[in-house]
Amino acid sequence: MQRILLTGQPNSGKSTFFNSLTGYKALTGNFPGATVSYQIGSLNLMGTLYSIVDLPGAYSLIPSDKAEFETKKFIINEQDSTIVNVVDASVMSRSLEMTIELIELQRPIVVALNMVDSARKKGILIDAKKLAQLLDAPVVETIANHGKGTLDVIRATHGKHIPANATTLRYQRDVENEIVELAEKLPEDLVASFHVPGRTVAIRLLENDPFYVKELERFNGSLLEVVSECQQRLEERHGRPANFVIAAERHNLAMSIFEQVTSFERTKPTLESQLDTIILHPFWGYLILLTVFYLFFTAVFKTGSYFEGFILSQFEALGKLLGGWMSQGLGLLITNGFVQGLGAGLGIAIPYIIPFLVGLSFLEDTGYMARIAFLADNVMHRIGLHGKAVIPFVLGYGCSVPAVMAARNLETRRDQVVAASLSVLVPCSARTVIIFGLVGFYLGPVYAIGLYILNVFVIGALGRIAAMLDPRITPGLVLEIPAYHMPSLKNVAAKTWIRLKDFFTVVIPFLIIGTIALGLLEYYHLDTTVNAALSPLTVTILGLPKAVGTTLIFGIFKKELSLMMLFQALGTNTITDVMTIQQIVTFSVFTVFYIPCISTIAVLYRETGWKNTLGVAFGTTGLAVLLAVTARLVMGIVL
Amino acid sequence: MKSLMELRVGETAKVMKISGGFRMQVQLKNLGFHEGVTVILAKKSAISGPLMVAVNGSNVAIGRGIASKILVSPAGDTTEDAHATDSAHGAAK
Repeated sequence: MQRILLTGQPNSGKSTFFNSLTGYKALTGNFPGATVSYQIGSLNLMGTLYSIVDLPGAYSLIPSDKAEFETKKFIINEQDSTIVNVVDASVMSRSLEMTIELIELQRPIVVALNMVDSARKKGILIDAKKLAQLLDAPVVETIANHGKGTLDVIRATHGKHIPANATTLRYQRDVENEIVELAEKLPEDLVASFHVPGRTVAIRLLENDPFYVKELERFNGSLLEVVSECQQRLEERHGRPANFVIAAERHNLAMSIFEQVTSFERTKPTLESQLDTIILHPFWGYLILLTVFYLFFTAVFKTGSYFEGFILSQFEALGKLLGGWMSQGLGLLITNGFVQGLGAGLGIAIPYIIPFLVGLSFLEDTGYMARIAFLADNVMHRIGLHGKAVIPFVLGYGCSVPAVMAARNLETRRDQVVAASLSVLVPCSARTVIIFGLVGFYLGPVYAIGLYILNVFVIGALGRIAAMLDPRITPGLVLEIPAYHMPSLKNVAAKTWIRLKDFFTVVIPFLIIGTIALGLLEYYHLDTTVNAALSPLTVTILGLPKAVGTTLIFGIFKKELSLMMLFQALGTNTITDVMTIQQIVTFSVFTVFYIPCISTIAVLYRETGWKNTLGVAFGTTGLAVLLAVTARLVMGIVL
Repeated sequence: MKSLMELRVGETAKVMKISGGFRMQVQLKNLGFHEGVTVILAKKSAISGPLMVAVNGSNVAIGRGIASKILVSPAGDTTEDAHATDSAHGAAK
């Protein structure tokens, strides 16, 4: 089996490239001991089996965060693989620096010159033959979102050719001398342990690449002094720190290659720049944003409710059928719990989540998501974050789990923790089911919208408080605004499927267990004990019926369970028979804000640590009590 | 020399010096902001929002705080144009 590593910069179309080769059979893998994941898929081409690994996008091989560090370690350790470097042809000058870094590793490499069509539209023509000559590596033109050329790239990996010419492997003389000198001083067995040439190790050490520095320190700490002597000499001669000198060398090399292979053609102002004039307009831009969100969520709920009714009725029929077949008792109870839990998952979560995920991939793949970050930057600054942090919040309306994970893409630890912690307060689709099913249905849409607005204000206020408590200034926005693309259906489908798998494997089991557990509670009459234990909160403080106690506990498993269990616990399908409007509002406010569901807690723990997770769990519950009591008092006055 | 912030929309300029931490400099370099590179201020958003800058055929959104740390020399301002990197060293001293 041949192993292929897909590497490339963010927005280079690398994942589209991967999806066009392996389709939906991809699996998600985790780097050992790390939360950073990659996709792995297989391809059978003319009887040869390939295992293709889609590594996270990175701008450079010098790791600047944990994800890049793990990615790099992975590439270094996979010595028998062929590297496929996916390059966005329209921004080639900048991508070439990473290509040079990859060539420096001295592994078999193929360059996939991707999106040649959009480069041509921008008037950038690249001579692929000449580029291949200069890089001494196969260069294949591809248009991955149409699946063009991707198989040719795989065929080109057969040569297993390691670039060997001097163009990319020699720097300016005095810099090169310094590198060679350092390389000679490095112990052979240390270099051998990396499986990359000594020259490359030397370059990386001069650049303070933490990966090599760490290993060197472990091997022989005194060698660090030799490195810093070389760095000092470079700094004296060039008037700037050594890592800048090396970066400049690589940049000059990339520019010189770029200039030799590229020719420009005058083009008319593209439709794209005209589109951005409207989409990023200080007034129309926001109007478009609101319209997009409105249409997006309306479409999600319309599609969702259409399928929900149908799926639920099927499971209800199945439940009745089971009741007829099996005798009363524990067996029926567990089977029924299983069917109901599965029904809840497939009937409520899935119909809303699939359209949401499809829409989300669409927003990402068209390039609109980055524009949302651009538009939101100044609002996000008010809560101490910057534009990119809007993405976890938008995702939060679908599900808190991907929202928390998306916070990882922010630059500083502070921003990551704040964005992850606040994004769990955004009503996810499950809580939306409660807001619409309870507040919207019984009290009307005005109350439902009011609850959303309250939510935005609460998050804003907490963000401001967080900014005041920790006034370290966020570094600010630096974000590539990618070109607009027509998303390919295949890619959207693959992305949706990868995200959906988490729901099948994590959420549905919890739903089933939760439903069975509630059944058991009832069977053994433990629910009254739970309700009694919670009654100081539910009855005394919040003024709710005693029976809601268990529903709140089950809401922790999965938020929409609160609503489904509410019907069950109160033994009615018409809530207004047993709860007043005041109680419905209090209950809804509480369920929207209180402790995140168990899947969210798990991922929050993974991303931000247990201290923060405990803080969020208790903090949100405290907040929910505070807001629910306020709602109770306000509703008491209003009504 | 002025900061990126002070450019007019549509104006072309050459990057002279990027200050700020190494981390941010790497981030900017990764996206194509090198000393000597020509950039165009493509868009300025409302009030305190980010700028959109065209560099090497791609568009990059840059918050105002960072933009104020990127010094540029507008096209036509020939005095500082010649040796972009060298004069950047001069400014650094």
